[in-house]
Amino acid sequence: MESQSQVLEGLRTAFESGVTIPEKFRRTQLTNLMSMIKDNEEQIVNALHKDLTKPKFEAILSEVDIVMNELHYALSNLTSWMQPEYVSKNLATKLDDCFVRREPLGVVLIIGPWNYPMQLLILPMIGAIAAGNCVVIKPSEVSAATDNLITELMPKYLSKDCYAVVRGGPKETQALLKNRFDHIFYTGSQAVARVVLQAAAVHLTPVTLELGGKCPCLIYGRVNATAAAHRLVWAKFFNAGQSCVAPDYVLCSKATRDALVPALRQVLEDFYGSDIQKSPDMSRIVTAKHWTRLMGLLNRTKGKVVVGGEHDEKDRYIAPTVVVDVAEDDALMEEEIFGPILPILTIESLEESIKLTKRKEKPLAFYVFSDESSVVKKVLENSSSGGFCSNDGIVHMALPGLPFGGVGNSGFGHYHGHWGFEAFSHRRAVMLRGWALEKLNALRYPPYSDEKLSWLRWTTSPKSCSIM
Amino acid sequence: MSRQQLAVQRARKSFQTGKTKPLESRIHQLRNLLRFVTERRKDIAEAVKKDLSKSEHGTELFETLGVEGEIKLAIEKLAEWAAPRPVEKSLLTISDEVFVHPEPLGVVLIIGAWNYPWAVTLQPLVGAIAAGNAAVIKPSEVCCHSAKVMEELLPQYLDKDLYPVVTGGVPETQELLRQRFDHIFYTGSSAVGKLVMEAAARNLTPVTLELGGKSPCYIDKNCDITVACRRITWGKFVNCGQTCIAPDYVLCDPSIQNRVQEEIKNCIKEFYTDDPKTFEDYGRIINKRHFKRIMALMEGSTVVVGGDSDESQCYIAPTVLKNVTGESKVMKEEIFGPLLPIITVSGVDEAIQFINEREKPLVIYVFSNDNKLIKRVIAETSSGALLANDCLVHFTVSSLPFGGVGNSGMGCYHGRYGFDQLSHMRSCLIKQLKMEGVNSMRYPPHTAKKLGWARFFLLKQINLGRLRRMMLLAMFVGVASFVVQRFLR
Repeated sequence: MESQSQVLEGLRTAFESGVTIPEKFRRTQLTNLMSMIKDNEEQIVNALHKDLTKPKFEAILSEVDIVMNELHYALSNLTSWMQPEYVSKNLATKLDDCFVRREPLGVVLIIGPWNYPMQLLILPMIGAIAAGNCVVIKPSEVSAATDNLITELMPKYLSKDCYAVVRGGPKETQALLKNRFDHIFYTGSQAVARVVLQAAAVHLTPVTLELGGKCPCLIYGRVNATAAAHRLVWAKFFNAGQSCVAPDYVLCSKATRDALVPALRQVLEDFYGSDIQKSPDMSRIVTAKHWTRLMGLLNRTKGKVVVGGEHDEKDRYIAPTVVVDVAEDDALMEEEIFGPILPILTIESLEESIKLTKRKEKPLAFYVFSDESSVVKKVLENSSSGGFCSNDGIVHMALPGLPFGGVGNSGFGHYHGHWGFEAFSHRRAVMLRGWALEKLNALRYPPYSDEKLSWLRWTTSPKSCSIM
Repeated sequence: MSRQQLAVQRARKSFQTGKTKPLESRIHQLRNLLRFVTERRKDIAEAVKKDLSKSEHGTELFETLGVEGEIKLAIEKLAEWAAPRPVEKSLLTISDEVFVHPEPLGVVLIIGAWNYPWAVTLQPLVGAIAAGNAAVIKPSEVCCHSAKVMEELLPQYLDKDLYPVVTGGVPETQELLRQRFDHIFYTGSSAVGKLVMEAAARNLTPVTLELGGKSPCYIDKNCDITVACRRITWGKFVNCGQTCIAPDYVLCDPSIQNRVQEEIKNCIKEFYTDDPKTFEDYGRIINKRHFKRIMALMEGSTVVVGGDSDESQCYIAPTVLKNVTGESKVMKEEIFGPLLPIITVSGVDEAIQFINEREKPLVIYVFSNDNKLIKRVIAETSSGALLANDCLVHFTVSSLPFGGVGNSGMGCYHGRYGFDQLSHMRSCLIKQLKMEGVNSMRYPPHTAKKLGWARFFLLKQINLGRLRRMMLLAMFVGVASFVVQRFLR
């Protein structure tokens, strides 16, 4: 059994040999990754069901298809992503070649979380492979079945020299972080992110942090309560609320709340039937520890449970629950919920709601439901978050054209599509000068003079080339 | 409350009023900054003269010219840079608005360096202002005259609350780093870069680090050695070698070593006269500490040009060294001074190996007529940037990203890159509450049929460009056949 440092040394040697650089190699690996997912779709769905009781539908959509989609996208665009980007020049550099080259960073580390154990590990990996790096992936040990499956499958499909799976818990991860990487991509919590960043600082390793936060959902103005309830329920209770971009809490007026709650109740029945615990379409809480944490929040809340509240410890089940009359200092407002509990805070004015969200850390996503575009615009312009979506939830992260990432406490850096390729690349400025025009160069050599200076000003200004 | 805490707090309060949001207000501040640089030219030049003995022309050429260019570019392009950036959509989001919205981060900390005290402090500031941030400016205390001028005069031009200048040494900087920022932009050494990143980790603050390293300069046998040496001499001895992108050391074949030495010797004479010590356009080492450090680096190597010095003036002559190997003292750290070691290698293979054995530098220079050779160096090495057949000038092209990789740093700036680096690119999807029928395929209860439809619609990527082109083609064919039928019978 190879030690961590042996594995890393092997990867570094492989990278230095240049094997990951040619486009053909990257395409082959991405195609093999596609085969890995396609050939083993059933095993993947089963593993996810074992870990999270994830319904097949959710597993396919949010863990299999989204990965396949990203692979297709990368393969279609890889050639153009790898092209040098020629840039505009000034007069002094008109005859030169100036371009930006995307180059691999080297050996990168990707640490995955447990809530979407395939997607949030493989999607960044696609960007890393496309960019020509060697990759170490560290799946979350909490989603153990998926961890086992990835460890078993990866070496069967991808080059063992260039890509490795390292397993373990916090101790092994800390040991891993002592090594030098050329980029670290971490998805998870703020607390661990600090540890990752501190470890990265020792080696001046750049980092991408995909964290979380309490994603607010404001509902104001004229609103189709039924449509809003459908989308809100879908986004909130998908994966039993264990999504970094799930709407965490709702802010709305009393009137809206009174229209919303019955709509939510109805939609929940339409989606999951009258006995939700029996529905095959509802996930479970990932571990007993998280179940206890969530029940703790529910027990401490000073709000009123109006929908749901049922729970079953053995099954790690918590019913989709709606709590009203929640105040800003309630237990449910202390931390990211990451579970199937939806607090509704009653705030009459949109302005006051916006102020409340400003008092909290910047979240990964910000939601607003309204039929009035002025309301949507107001919220967009008076908030800050990783991403923003009006009149729906989560779906903005399925668009590979949009950068997926946080700001402030919800993280920094981003990925998906081209952004993933860029996240794992170095943008190297290249300038190829000729030998001619040395007389022009003489303007810059000492002894300096006013005359030389004014000529130089003109030739190096970006405007001067418009005359040519 | 400490002075630093107060400055940061005021900057944050001021930012939260939203006054930096409108583009007009950002342009207003940028115009003021431009006025500062042009109106206070003399004050700036005097300060730099006292700090680095740089001539007035030198200051304008290497400090303020660049800043002026960046400000003018930002003013001209701001509307374009700050506009929402549309992105491609999927089949299901065809009727939605999908775009990236550049937004300010908040309060940025800019820590400047002493070697180009104005350029490396104000150029990041241009990006910060353009992106709509507040910025706390911490000039290096080592260039004390420039720091003082910045502290006294900048607040007379820029909003005092939004862009405070906070001076001080190590303890003051540490106190600043204990505050919470939305981005930290640091220019300086790798050693301090690590400390900055570690401090930033506490608040999960992203950083841009513009560090240094030993930038190698390979001279191929096959090139115009005279012109090459002119450009290298210029690049090396500007600011007495105290430039993060100065060619640190030369690699060349033994057969051209003597020629290279001679050419550089001649250029030094041509540029700096027989007596650089008395020549206005040759500078000084920033302080005694660095003077001693650089002098000690010469140990073990042979001086072939220059070598003389005067501690009282912090003067070190433009110096060329030979008999240098990878183990020599001068090769152990970034020189950041007017010593140019020449190391012999037998060809580009050995040069590439030599470079790759060391940390990734901020720039790699290669002088050659052979484009294939240049391409090889590009392909087989890694560095912040690569410049062929000249030195330094890539810094002046605003459309090229300026930054390092590995030990030479992370992140980049100049032109639009500065704006983007200090912005948050927020993904936006604006949907309506209509077309609910289409959404229903993703809702439970889940059936195999729904899954099939969802798999097709929800995630399929449509190449809209291709679709549009095909539709256009179909239209064209339709029209063409109509024309043929109707008119060409």
